[in-house]
Amino acid sequence: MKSNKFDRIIIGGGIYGLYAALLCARKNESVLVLEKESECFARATYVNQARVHLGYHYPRSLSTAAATAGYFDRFVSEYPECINGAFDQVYATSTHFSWTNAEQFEKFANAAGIPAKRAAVEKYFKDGVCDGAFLTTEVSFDAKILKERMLKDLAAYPEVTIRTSAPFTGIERKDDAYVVTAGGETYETSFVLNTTYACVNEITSLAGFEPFRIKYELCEVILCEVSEELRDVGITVMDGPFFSIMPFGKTGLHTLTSVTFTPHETCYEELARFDCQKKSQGTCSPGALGNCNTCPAKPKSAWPYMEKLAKKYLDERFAFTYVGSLYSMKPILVASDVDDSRPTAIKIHSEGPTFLSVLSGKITTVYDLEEIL
Amino acid sequence: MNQGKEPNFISAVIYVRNNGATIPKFLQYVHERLEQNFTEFEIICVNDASTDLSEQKIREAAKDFSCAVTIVNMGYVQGVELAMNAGCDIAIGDFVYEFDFADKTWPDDMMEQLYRKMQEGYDIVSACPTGKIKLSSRMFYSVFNRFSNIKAKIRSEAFRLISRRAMNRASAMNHAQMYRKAVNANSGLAQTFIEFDPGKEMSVDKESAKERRGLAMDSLILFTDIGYKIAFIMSIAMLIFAAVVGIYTVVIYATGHPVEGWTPIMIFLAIGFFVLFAILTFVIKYLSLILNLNFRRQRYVVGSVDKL
Repeated sequence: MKSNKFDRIIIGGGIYGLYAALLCARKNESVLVLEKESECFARATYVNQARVHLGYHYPRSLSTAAATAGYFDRFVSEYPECINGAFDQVYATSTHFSWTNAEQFEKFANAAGIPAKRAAVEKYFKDGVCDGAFLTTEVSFDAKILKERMLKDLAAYPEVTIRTSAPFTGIERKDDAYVVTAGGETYETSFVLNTTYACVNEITSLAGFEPFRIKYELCEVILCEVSEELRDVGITVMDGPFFSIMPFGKTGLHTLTSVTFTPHETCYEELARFDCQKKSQGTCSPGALGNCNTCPAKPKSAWPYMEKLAKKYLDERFAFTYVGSLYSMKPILVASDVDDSRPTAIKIHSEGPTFLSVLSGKITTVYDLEEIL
Repeated sequence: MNQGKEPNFISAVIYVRNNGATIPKFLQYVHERLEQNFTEFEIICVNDASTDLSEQKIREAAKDFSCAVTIVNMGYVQGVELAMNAGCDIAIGDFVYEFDFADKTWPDDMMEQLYRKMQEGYDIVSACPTGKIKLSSRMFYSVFNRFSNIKAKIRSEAFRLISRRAMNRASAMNHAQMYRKAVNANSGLAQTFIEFDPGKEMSVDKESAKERRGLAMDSLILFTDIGYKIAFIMSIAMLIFAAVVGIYTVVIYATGHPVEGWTPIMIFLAIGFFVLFAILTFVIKYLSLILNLNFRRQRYVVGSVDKL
């Protein structure tokens, strides 16, 4: 029987889990990745706007913007095949209800050292709805291609094992090691890394560690078929209750999201508790979140609202039609609400044996893992 | 499914100012009516810095609603006009119901009546109470309609339904829309009203009532030329009067025997006041020009373009 002992066990087969595995494998460590779903990248890594942030989103948090910009170049150069940069990414500031106006945005972009070139507002928007538009250099990533690439990278290391359909169910301390139970089997290690994003507190609660202070949002990302005029354009209206429509990786589709209508439900409890869980036919509970995207109780699409919101702003020549919705659970660190920053939070629960949890809101901050591995 | 429901997207914007007592029932009513008649809609409550439990009441009442409910909280009390502008700016609907009072005095089916009327080709349809209208309101509207150069007449309204087109027009016309009714009336788009008998007076918070009075004065001064006219006529009258006094003084000096010192004093006063009122007349004319340039700034207003 093959040994069930590993140098490191990583819980969660999203981008954080796979990248962590790669970092460890490069150091010749034996690694086990435990994924609840039947495949990697089945949840939040796939279900999001697919935006590779360059920092434009954080005009009220210069430090987040600067850190994001640093990671952007590295990510784009390391994973060129999954990057779609062949479109004009337009950021605009809304005339009404924006926390940031055009001048402030311009000043912020200069200060953060990220490019933002003034563009003609009337080229993209209806009369009077936006007070400034900027051409930026942001790109979109394709999660499916990224997954293939990362799995290929990992395949080069025989010491890496990925177990899918292996939900984490328990952990026990045995002298200087942890015994992890997942998918009915037990594994032994002296180092556990929890990269499960929305399930992060589920794992810490099973292990008896302190949870993160987060709120949960059940989010919907709408996929759209777009007209020729919009094909090579991404548009983001900020900074407030607005929307974004931009290419979804290399799929040929666009994602449509909005600040107000993308989150369907919010939960402020330690473990995600939602009314829809009762109707999930047992696939989801506060202690064991299911996959919102395949859930029988997923919410009704907010497409009518998002469509109206986007049409209120966009010039008539841009057309888009509904293709489908993707749902996922999003944990948001409570402390980051005020300045809208999304730092990477790392919690060291125990050392020797080590148990770490990492929680971050963006794809590119995956490089923060280097600090702990 | 959705049989008989209108496919248009509707926004309902409700002004809330210390309406904790009436708001739950009011929201229920609006939601019920919208749900019966429309497939897609949203409700926006503009909370103008209420000091009672209005916000909490809204949250409780809206908990089980099937639509999106937005609360716009104003930072401090800004009055019904600014607050409703904020609410309308955030609304995304094709048609927007504007409720200036969160107190239902109209028959249940009034909302549908307005919508149906709008389908006949109007951009703005208002629900107007008949009968018990306060004397002060009646006076305001009659003075306003008499002296403003706005074609459409305005009157007491309980709530109204506005098309997206009319909203865009109004916001393009004037960014400082301090009195929506007047701007709407000025938009040149077709508008009409439906009357109903309210049976009771609308309940208005004391503070709000004070603000509404202030708003009435401001609107009269901004949208009508009554203030300018009165001031201008009075200063012209005083100008003429001063001139007459001057002539009278000269006549007395030439024909009679006035007390010593009377003539120089009178001449000084007459000339002094003449010049003063002449200056005042120019200043008033000047101010009204500046007001026109700044406030009523609009290039032109097109009612519609018909291609034959």
